[in-house]
Amino acid sequence: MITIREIQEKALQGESSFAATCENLIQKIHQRSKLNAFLSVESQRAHERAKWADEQLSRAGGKIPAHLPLLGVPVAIKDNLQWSGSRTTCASKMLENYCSPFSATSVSRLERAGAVILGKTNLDEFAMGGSGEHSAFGPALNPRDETRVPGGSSSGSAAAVAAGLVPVALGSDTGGSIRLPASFCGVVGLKPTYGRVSRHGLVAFASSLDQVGPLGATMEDVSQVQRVIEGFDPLDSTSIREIPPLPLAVQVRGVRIGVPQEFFADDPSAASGLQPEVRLRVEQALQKYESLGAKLVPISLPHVRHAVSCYYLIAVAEASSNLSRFDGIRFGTRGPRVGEAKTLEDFYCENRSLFGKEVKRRILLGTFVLSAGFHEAYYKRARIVRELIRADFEVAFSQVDLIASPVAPTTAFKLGEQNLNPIQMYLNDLYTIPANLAGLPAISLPVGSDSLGLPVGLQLIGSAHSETLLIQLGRALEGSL
Amino acid sequence: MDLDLQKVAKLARLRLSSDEAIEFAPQIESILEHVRSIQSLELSSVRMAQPQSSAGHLRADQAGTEERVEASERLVELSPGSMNGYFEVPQVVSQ
Amino acid sequence: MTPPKFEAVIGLEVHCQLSTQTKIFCACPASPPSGQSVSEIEPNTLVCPVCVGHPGTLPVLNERVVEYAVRAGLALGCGIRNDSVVARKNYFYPDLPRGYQLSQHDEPICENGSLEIQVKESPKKVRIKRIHLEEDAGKSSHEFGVTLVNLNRAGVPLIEIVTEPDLRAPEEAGDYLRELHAALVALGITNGNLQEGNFRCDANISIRPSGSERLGTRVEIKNVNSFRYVEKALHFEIARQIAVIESGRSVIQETRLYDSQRDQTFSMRTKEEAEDYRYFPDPDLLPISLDEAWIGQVQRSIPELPAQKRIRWESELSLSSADARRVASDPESTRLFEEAIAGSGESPAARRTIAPVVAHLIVGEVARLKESEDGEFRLAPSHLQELAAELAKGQLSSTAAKKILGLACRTGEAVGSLIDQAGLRQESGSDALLPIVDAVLAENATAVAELRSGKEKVLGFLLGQMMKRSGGRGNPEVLRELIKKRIQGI
Repeated sequence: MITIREIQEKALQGESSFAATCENLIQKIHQRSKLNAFLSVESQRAHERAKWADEQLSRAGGKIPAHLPLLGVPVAIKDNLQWSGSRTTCASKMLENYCSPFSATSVSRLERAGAVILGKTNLDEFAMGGSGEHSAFGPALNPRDETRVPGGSSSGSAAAVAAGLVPVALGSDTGGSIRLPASFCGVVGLKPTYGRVSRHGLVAFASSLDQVGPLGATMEDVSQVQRVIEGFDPLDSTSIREIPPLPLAVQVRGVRIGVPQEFFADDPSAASGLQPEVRLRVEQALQKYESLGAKLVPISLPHVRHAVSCYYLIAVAEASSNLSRFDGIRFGTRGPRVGEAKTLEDFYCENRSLFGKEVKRRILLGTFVLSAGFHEAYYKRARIVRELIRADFEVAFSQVDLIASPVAPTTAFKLGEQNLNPIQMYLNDLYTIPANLAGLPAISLPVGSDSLGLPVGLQLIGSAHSETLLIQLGRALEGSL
Repeated sequence: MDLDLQKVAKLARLRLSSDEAIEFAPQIESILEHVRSIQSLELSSVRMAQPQSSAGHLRADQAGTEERVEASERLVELSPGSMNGYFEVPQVVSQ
Repeated sequence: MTPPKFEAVIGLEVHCQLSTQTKIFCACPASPPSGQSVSEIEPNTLVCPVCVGHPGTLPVLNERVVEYAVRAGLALGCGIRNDSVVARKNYFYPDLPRGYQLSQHDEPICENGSLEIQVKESPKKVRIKRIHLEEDAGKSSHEFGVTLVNLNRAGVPLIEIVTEPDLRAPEEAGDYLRELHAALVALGITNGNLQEGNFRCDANISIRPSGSERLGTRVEIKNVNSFRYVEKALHFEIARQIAVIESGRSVIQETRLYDSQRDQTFSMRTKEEAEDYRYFPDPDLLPISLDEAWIGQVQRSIPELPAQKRIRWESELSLSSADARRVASDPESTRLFEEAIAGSGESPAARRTIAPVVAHLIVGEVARLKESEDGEFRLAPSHLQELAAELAKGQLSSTAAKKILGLACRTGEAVGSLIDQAGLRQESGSDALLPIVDAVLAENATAVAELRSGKEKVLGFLLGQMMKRSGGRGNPEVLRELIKKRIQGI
């Protein structure tokens, strides 16, 4: 894997210009095309941009200008983020040839900071999935073991970083879509506090849960990208106006780490199928923190056992509505038999037949949940349960500074292994979902591997705007492993 | 469970083949079964909080910039069916 | 006269387009630049990725829309909700880019107000159930076997004003609409242009046996774009529903449109079943949070409404009810009137004399001139002021006034100089007129005798003679007085 520092150092030392680095990485991407991490690569554009970066560097007298902190840094963007002029497919046949008319705010910020965007990465269609297998253009593969999934939905971004094709990538996280692939691929992934990074330009899945966030090889790199992309955006009403100043450097000594009993119990209904080696690595990591002076505190999040249900009601409801705009009228691809449609309803159905199965399933579920007669029983209740979960976290954070858990119940599974059972797939998200429901920041950091060499991730969840704390704690572990 | 899958599909403008209907129905039923745990909770005493501490962000009533005008021209070009500057739907719509 | 067997129960929903600069959820212009009309500009030119519903776009609420909605609410006596919610109304139609309309459902911004109308000279309160804000859809037209969609109008801000079913006659509905229209235009929140569809009305009407409390089956009449047509449509519909009931059938709940050519309502092709809109709070917009201080500020910015002006003018300025109503219902007339009176600088008593004259001129002669004038219309409030003053002083006859008014409209010159140029200055001085009176009386002894014996008719003849003698400039009132005095021997 590669880092921002390496790339910028090489350019500063004259070892490898940004243009040369860019060239190398693009070649590498093609060499490892089997990974299917990228859905599109913009070599021409990237090359011009890298050359520009080299010019900026020489003009700055051989140092990285303060206003261009990511100068020359190659990045990959998940293909559900708009990038003006690029193809943005969301891994769907629906948008197979869709060309972005504008850029997402997070993407513009990266460019304004000097980054070189190499291309768009693979994902589960419209970000709906946890393995990467629900892409209309074939799954991305896990670089650690190409017979296994990289995790999803930010599958391509995690794979690209893990395979050393880029130092950092942008992903999106609605129920774990940054953290889970980060865990499966052995990289760092951060889901920021809800509202901290603008959603303008992120193709919406579940509006009250979605967040854009960085993946990278190191805490430092993830932290750097986060600082560049976050901030108030007048184009997003849910983006936070005043971001509280980040706390000063934090010591591990004395930090209270909460360990939720619901996540570690042997009760199968609470922590379904937690793989023993995953539990082992997570517990080892926690012991490491203890040895560094942190205090482990048992806590309870009583309503967290309803988190998956709650999430799958709210997320699908919002998604069913967000995806109504895909009708083939103003953009997107029209269905193959659209010429035969006799009524308006047929026309819509034909165009929307381009959705993949998982997307269709979720739209159906969401439509049902919102429909007359079921709205009260399902959707409204789910919103109330969400408040209860939020309240659980509030109570917990009065007792501890952060909360630890596994990221996923297992390490990367084989392609096709979980295909037939949606419930099984949904339960993979049980550790990651609560942070989305509560709008809290959470990070996945690699803490070793299982006996097959497959990476295990540790999740740290913080209170709102405690990203620095999470990064610092992550760094402490990074240093010691 | 009262799930009328074809009715829901119609509402969502999704066409289900008979195979898909056969496949989806039990899957969706089992998901609903799983989430039914929510129905048993005692929720009457819970007060709904605001989703965010700050009020919705409002925008000043000012027109955008020139680049908006250019972008608007491209929007019609981007559509899969257009005619004389209109978005085109190749069927006559029922009133 | 036997009371009618049936009574009509009518509720109205008005969609009013707000005159903000930009659309409700994006920074596109809400109306065509340089004053062109909506139908004149090219399709899909006032659009952006947000209002076209491109993926990844988000709505951001225009604060002036909120302000205008609150203004309307306050002016109509509504309670303003401190936290209201924008909701998604989900359905599929080509002119609805996102596949959902952003509107308000459970928690509208204003509720429980009222508007007073006059029913047969008595005031009647029409209760307003709610006012909420929402976005307009685009426009789809059907030609050459295809549907063409123009999204220029998509996202234009609207408020929807819904009444309780308090109206009982088509004329009441018409009155309510006229009153509401005048109020909203006076508030400055809409230009209320009916031709452009900026003020659209849907009516809900049912009938029931007189005296019954239960509501009959409701029929909705959509999108009637003039007040007169609303009244006519309702008349037709009432008769139609009565005929249905009397023939033993039941009224079908449906949506109908009005055909103004045939003066009939007709059924829209019925949709198979009621649409399930699956309303839920929009997660991209946070609740609209309004504090009392801000609401107070909006309250203070509300100008005096037509209804209030009417009351004030009738009581303080002696305007007739009819003239007051007509002046108040038109912003231009209101402006002319108020500036003319304010600029007159006369004492309150004098204003009471001048005001009715000015009002009458405005609704009569000015209105007529405006319609017939092809060239520039150069009437200023000062003209009216001066004219009124001259009339009050008795320096001008009313016929002459109309003539001068016409000249002022065309030339824009000051009234005083126009009167002098035209030589129309009325003579009202007794000293000047007495000789004429005496002369004419002396020459017409027979007429004088007839007058003395009570024959009033001959007065007109004598007056006419005196007017001729004075070159048309004698003040008829003064002449009349002088004749009277002389007859009485003074």
